[in-house]
Formats: sequence, C-alpha cells, structure tokens
Amino acid sequence: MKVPKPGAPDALVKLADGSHRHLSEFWQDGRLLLVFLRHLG
Amino acid sequence: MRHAEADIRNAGAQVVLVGMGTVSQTRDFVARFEVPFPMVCDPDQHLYRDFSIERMSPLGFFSPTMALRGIAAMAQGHTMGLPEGDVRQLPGVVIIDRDGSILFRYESNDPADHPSPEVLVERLETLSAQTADH
Repeated sequence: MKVPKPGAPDALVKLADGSHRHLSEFWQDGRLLLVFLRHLG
Repeated sequence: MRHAEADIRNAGAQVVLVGMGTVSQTRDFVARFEVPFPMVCDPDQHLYRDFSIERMSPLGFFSPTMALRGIAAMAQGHTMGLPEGDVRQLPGVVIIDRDGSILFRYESNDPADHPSPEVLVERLETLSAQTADH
C-alpha cells in the first residue's frame, strides 16, 4: 500500500464554499472516506 | 455514492470528495449534481500528490482495456464530454481512521475503475468489526 506524505491526513484544504478546513476535522469523530475524482468538480 | 450516504454513515464514516476544479467549478458541480458531501477544490492537485494518487501513463489511453470500457460506457448511454483538466489523473479512494492512519486505499487502474459504494460500505463494516474484535 502506498504511503501518503507525512501530514497529508491533516492537510489544510479549501472547500467548495471557499472556506479552509483541516482534514482531521472530518476524521476525528469517525472514519473518513476520501474520494478522489478525476473530474474538475 | 450519494445513494449510499446513509449506509456509509451507519458504517461510521463520512465522505469528503476531492476534485481538480477551482472554487467556482466545484461550487457549480456540487449544485448541478446535488452533491450531499463536503467537496475539496484541488486545482493544483496537491492532495492527489500528497496521497500518491496515480496518473495514467500516456500510452494508457490506447490500451484495449480503455477501448472496451469506452464502448461499454457508450452502450449504457453515457457520452464523452470534452476532456478538461488533467486527463491523465486517475481516481482513488482512501479511508482514514480516527487517529489519522490510513486503513485502506483503492488504487484505480484506469479512469473508469471505481470501487462501488457497496464495496466501500462492506470494507467499512469489516474494519469496524475488526476494531470491535480488538
């Protein structure tokens, strides 16, 4: 299994509403299913 | 994926989508397809690289597998839009545990290679059962 870069699971990301969040906000209370699309979105 | 939202939540996880669009493109996508999940805008593909989500080789477009998948998609009524963004970027799925560790990765072999929501729910339920055993 490929290993992500250190810190990747808590990366600061920008959401569709323009806000910034750390990924850890999504997995602290449960598992996170991170789905990478091949679309522009 | 959206049809499996309740099952995924019941399996103890939430979904976050990552796309290669700008904020504006992503907002349009979320509205157009009524996406019920948070969606990350990653036009520079930083997150794709940080999680080692592969890109397809240039010759991958001409493989027999890709041709067959294209024919199958058209037979199901799907049409091909104009290519946008990084057409070589492959999709992928990563499950992150409550401590930030990676529990599972699905590495797609080609752009049409996706795990079904049912497979992902089953994987989440298996992971939960394994955790409960320990």
